[in-house]
Amino acid sequence: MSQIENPNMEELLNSYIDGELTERENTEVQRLISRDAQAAQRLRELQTSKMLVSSLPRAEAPARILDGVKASLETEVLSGERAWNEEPSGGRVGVRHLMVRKFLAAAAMVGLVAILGVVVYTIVAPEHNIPPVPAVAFDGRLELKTDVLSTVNAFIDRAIEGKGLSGSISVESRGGKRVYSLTCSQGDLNLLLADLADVWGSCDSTTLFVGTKMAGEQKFDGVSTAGIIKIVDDLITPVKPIITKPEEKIEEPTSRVKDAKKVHLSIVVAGSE
Amino acid sequence: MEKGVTEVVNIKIDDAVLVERCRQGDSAAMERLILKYQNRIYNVILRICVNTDDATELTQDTFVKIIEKIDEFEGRSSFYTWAFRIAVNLTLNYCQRNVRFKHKSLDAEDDEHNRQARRELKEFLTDESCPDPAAVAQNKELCDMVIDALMKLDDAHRAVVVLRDIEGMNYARIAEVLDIELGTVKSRLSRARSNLRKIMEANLQ
Repeated sequence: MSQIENPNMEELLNSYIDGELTERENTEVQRLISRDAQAAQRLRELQTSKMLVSSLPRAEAPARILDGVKASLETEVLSGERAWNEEPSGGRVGVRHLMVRKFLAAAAMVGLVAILGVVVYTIVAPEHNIPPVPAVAFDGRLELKTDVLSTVNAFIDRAIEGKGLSGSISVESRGGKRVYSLTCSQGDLNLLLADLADVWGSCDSTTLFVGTKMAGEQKFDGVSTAGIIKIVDDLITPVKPIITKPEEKIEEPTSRVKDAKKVHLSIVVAGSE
Repeated sequence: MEKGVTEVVNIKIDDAVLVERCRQGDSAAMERLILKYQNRIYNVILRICVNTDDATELTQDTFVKIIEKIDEFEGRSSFYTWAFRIAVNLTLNYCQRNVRFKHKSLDAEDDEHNRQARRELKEFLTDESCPDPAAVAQNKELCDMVIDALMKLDDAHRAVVVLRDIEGMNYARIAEVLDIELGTVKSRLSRARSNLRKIMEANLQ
């Protein structure tokens, strides 16, 4: 096979006529064409092709190009873009462009951090099954201590289920304690307490804590279910003022009356020490 | 071109300075850049797209784009390379969209001038001595034949030949302008010249 049929040899000869070879490669090509007539012939053909193209006359660019560019840019100005001869106000366009880019980059970073924060919080934060406690007429905490923790818990679970209060209660287990957080009507609470009376005998202590505006937190040791019902009732039912003149009837919105009847009781069941 | 303008262009100012002034909105600097490069860019575009009206429009579009994008020019390549990249890209895109203009070959008019040009081209292609460039340039019919052959090359092949043999770029610069590897420039140029010769020989049959 003649070397000239090799595509690499074609490239080498082209590079030779274009002056793109190193001194050493130039010498090699010169040696090749001096002893290979076919390579020398091919070199002349390539030189002719190159010369014919490079000899094409150069044209003068039409003078209207400059005016055309100006006209195009002025048209863009009319549509709100940059002016042909606009002097940028307040500094270099490049600087302004860079600042815009920096601002966008910073905004993107803040956005990214915010999204990451939400993602991390969603993963790390504990689940909050406890619904937010609405404003209630009564808020108290009942602490029950027992040696038979599981029995008492199972009893309370059944009572809640039996009274259809599962949707009104959340349950948490914290360090050997079980906490029931119940928000319901006073009537439902009374019914539940009535059921829980049967488990009272399994408890070593029963203590009710009630927060009041006047006296702060109040503590009721050894409280019975009936006692709790009475305490709740006393705190909810307002003391009627002494009437000195005919009472004016003030009608409150129905929803507000209903919400005012809501009570909240946390029942904490813990093992006896 | 007005004499006054020519004198302004002849003042040698570095491209980087002109580019910086353009960025600051200096319209005189923009004019200088256009006047400095318009002939070279126009010739490259003309030899790729062939039609003079199209070449004028494309040259104008090239400078509009250059000025619009001047803030994005980062100086990683020279302004010259960047400007030619815009010009060649616009032109090649235009050629792809307007395939109908391709192969609009000059019908060989059988007049005496043409017959003479064909004889001369045949001699050039067969004669072992290299033709005189000045004689070629002055022979309009011969030049038309070469242009006709250039038109029949693939767009990519024609672009690399024009950048090398019309604009006189080295291989590295061509690689930058066309955004291709240096080896691709070599192989593409080699095939392009080979095909060009075959086309010219075929046109003489």
